[in-house]
Amino acid sequence: MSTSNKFSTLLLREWMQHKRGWIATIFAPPLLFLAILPFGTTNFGNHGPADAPLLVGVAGVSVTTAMLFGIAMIAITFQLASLARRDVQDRSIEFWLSLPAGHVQSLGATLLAHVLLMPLAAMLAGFGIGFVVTAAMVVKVSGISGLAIIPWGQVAATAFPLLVRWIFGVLLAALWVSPLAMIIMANSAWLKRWSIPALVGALIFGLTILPKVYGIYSVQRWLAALMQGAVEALTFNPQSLEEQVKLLAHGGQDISVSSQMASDAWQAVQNLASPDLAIGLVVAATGFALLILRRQRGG
Amino acid sequence: MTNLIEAKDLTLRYGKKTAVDNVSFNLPKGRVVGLLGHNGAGKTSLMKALVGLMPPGAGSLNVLGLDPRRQRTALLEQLCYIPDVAVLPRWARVHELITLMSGLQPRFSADRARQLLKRTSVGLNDKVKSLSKGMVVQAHLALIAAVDARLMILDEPTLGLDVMSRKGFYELLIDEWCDGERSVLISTHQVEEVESLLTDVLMLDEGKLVLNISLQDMDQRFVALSHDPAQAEAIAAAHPLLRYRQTGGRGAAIFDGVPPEHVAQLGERIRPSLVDLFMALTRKPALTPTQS
Repeated sequence: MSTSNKFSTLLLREWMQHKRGWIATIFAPPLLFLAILPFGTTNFGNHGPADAPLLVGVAGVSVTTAMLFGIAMIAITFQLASLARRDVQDRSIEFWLSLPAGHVQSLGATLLAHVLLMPLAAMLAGFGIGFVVTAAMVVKVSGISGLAIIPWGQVAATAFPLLVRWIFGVLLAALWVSPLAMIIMANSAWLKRWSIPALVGALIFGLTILPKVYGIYSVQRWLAALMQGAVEALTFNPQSLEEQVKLLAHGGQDISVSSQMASDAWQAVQNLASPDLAIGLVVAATGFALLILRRQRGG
Repeated sequence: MTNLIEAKDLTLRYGKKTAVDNVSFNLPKGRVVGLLGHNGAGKTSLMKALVGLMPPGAGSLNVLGLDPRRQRTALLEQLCYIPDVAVLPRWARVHELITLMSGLQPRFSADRARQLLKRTSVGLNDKVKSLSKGMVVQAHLALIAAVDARLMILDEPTLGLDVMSRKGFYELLIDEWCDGERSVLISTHQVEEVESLLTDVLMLDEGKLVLNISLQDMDQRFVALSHDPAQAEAIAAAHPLLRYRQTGGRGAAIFDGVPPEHVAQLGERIRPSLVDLFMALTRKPALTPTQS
């Protein structure tokens, strides 16, 4: 039995255990939105479907994609701490430790599924659902005939490079946020119920006491650098994106979104050459090692 | 490899506390060995060390020719281990557990698991959290017994279960897994329930191995005498391992080896039960003459 087969089984285990929560996180918000849409008001501002059909289409799909990705990230952030002690709390850790799967594999599958695959799935689902949401909004404003105004093929062709850029960005952003995720998880695994007070205390110390009392800004600056790196990993040059939107709003049809996104992605890759990220990856590796050690000791 | 487990001068520690103290034993194939001891005797620590979840503080440990700590994954592919009662993930359905074990345990047979589950009242579509504790244990054994391994390690597998569940568990174990070639190491303090299953006994007392013997040898080595209460003082003078009272008011005493002839004549020889021997070797509650 190969290592990859075991790893894919461990990923399957994550799906089996969390599928309901993941499906609800991804599909409940747009379904809710669609359910209340007939009772609310829809306003496209200065650029309605008739004025800037391509902009409306691309914006609808992109915003839905970004929203679902954002919701998924918020859900994962709140879940991380409990994820570290999940199997201990339901006592199944003894069962998992009795099976021939390595500690690195087991933890790696959990992290991969929750930190990367689930947000990516939310993003992909958001892209598809974005067409439905946009169509519903257009029908609400312009009636069923409004659907014919939107150039759906062109919307897909324009929004798809953005999706690819964001998918690539999620991979890079995972590197930037990995130290924070590992700190939260290792803290929860080792300190258990004291983990939240300890985390709050560490944040107060690092972000308030150190700079104000001792004039040390390194922790504050490092955390800010990680967050900025994560945001830039998704969109390095938001001004460029804004210009694209303006072009679309004015009926621009010949813009090269693909080359813009490729250029933006390359800048995000270059941004990885950062001492802050290097320190962050060392912190993340230490956090992962602490999680392994905890698991070796029975969780 | 003649022995499935070889432990030599093994010591296990939690910080400064010694859980298992300088223990040596071998476990050959085809044996059903009971690891007996009171709570805190070191049974679970020894079991954890056997499956690589606890590092030896001193001595050496070899299981199926492997170092449990360094070769844990390879070792777990070749043995079955039930670590505790009702530890199956509560969110899972039984058929999902079969799928997961098929992907993680190379010697696991899904067909065999389904076949074994038919002997129980557990359905493939049942969720673990909807099962009683006894049913969870039966399901766990059915899954584990579907692993084609040479060694099964069971740590207090029936603790807290009712009589029917315990009986069902051991029947399934003996009928479906033990074949004369495979070995089982069962940790328990429900001594009387496993006595009929065992071929050998390991007894731990406060981390020390106080007995390592086959049941056959045990019957030859240890002698119990049933006697009238009037003979109690004379029996006590011969320093038996344990004296206790039998139903009907008669006294009994267990000796390590054949007692002297004049003592043997004071009572009639009976077979010492494993429970009495366990008490004799691990607690030694000497009765006062008035009690006997």
